[in-house]
Amino acid sequence: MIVRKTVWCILAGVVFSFLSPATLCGQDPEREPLRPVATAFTLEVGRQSALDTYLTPIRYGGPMLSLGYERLRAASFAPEQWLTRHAVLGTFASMTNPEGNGSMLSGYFDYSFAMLRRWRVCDGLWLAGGGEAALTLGGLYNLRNSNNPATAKAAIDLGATAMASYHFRIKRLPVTLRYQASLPVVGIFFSPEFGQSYYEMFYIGNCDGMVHFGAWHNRVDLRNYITVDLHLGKRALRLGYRQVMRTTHVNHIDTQVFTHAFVLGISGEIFRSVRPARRIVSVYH
Amino acid sequence: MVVQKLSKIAILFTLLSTLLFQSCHKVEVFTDDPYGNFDALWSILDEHYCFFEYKELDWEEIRGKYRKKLTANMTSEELFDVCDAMLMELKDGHVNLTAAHNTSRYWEWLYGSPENYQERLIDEYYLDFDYRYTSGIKYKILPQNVGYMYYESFSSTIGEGNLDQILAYLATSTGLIIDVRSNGGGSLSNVETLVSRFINEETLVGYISHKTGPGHREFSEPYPIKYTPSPRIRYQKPVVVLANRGTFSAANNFVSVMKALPRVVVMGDYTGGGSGLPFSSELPNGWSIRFSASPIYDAEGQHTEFGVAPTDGFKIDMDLEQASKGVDTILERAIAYIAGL
Repeated sequence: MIVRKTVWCILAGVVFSFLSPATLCGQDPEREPLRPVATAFTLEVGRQSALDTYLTPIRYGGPMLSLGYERLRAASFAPEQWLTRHAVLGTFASMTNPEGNGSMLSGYFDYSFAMLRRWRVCDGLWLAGGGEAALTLGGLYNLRNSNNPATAKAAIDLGATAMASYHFRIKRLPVTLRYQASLPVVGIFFSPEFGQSYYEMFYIGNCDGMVHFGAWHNRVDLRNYITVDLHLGKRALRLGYRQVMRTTHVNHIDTQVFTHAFVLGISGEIFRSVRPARRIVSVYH
Repeated sequence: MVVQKLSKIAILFTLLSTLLFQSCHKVEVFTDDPYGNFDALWSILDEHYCFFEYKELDWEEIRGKYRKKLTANMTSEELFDVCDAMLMELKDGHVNLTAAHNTSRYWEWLYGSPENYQERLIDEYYLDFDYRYTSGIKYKILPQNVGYMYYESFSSTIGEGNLDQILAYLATSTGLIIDVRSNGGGSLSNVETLVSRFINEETLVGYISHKTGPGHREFSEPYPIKYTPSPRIRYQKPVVVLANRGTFSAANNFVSVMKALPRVVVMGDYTGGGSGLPFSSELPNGWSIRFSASPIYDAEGQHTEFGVAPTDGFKIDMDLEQASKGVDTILERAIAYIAGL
């Protein structure tokens, strides 16, 4: 039963992700609740390990740095039940091989848009689940290779996402504890063939077979994000942990990129309208 | 009730996460010891090297032959020597194992042949140390009104504007000698830049293929490589290309392309070959390995891994006695050929 509800929730979220909220709205503007935008800017520092057998069979590792942006808001068409999330994450890592004589750089840009159905469980605690559309662009660059120096990463996914948020107080300090997970289910992604050079693909122009249908048989990504927002006045200090797993196995090429990062940032709600509202629907509480 | 639902959701999610982590494909990991490094090297080549079938090599047998020379306590240099000896079996100038103390290389095709080129002789007796030089190309109109250009390495990027200047300067010559002797190769994009000045229509110049899997016979269908003529200055008169066994890799490709064009004659010796586009990889101990990964064929779909022959009737070696007197007999033949047309 729970599984069936979860699946329906994912499907509904995916469908809503592609429908403009404006087309579903149709409410009287005077009766619309105020829906503050909850934004967060984060600086994330941690460690990344990367293995890409197109470049090398050796796993590289090293420090990584990310800049993140997140925007949460109650949906206009059903603010009490639905919320939207935009997330942007730019990640750069500089890695070395275990011997320390090889270097690899990586860069990723991730954007996702999610629509989640939320359920209030008890005072301050709510759960949410829904669908997510995500875009990933990036690549790995091995500084010691000849005609296979780099491999580009590009993917468009549809998947499931879940969120749990608990708003409480520690003495007089409001605190929001939140956990988010994203799991792409299907999509398309780019990969060269086993021994195909980028010279052949992009200089000669043999581009056949580079785009693949992605599902869990050949591509498994998972993103976990745990944050604590300490509300200090109008703004909140965000502390957290982000884990990103990107794996593909296609054309006999394996790619496994794992990042673990400590998150430090600023978050808070922005009131986009000064019009008096009958009620406020916050994504915090 | 709510707690029960939450528990079930949590269990479901935990199981799913566990399943996903388990579903990561296992990648073989080799140990950083003599056996692990040797096996890593052998496996990288076993899966990626592109000429096993063409060269009729039994790679499994070669593994057995050299693996039994390993010992657990051998030094890094001793391991390198065993790996080096195994790689020599490939007879491939594009195969190099690079360690901190040495780089293995196969140059037998070069050492076993006459050099057929003396830079100082050309500079002194034909160019009088007075020539123009740009984009890595020396050029001059010789007294017989024959244009001459020497391109030392396809690693030197040829600028289109520089090439305009060169060809405009040589336009009054009756023919052109392009000397790529001892040119060890470089970037294939420079091959197209240069060749596009000698064709007047889209031209099929060869094919490229790549491995589609780790098996020795798993290759893609050859994909045609076509060059389009440059919209800038193009040379329309007879051309002689000079080659020797030191003409390797991208330079070997250049000769194979030019040889198929009308009005072009290739003189000198066989080229050195090297028709596999090299890839790189590495071993657990940090040594890097370069190897031929993607075969490039000539316009007739033939391998040129072991070299390109001169045009029929134009195979010629340098006469060293004449060379000691300042005469390059290969260049003299080319000058006479163009002057006599």
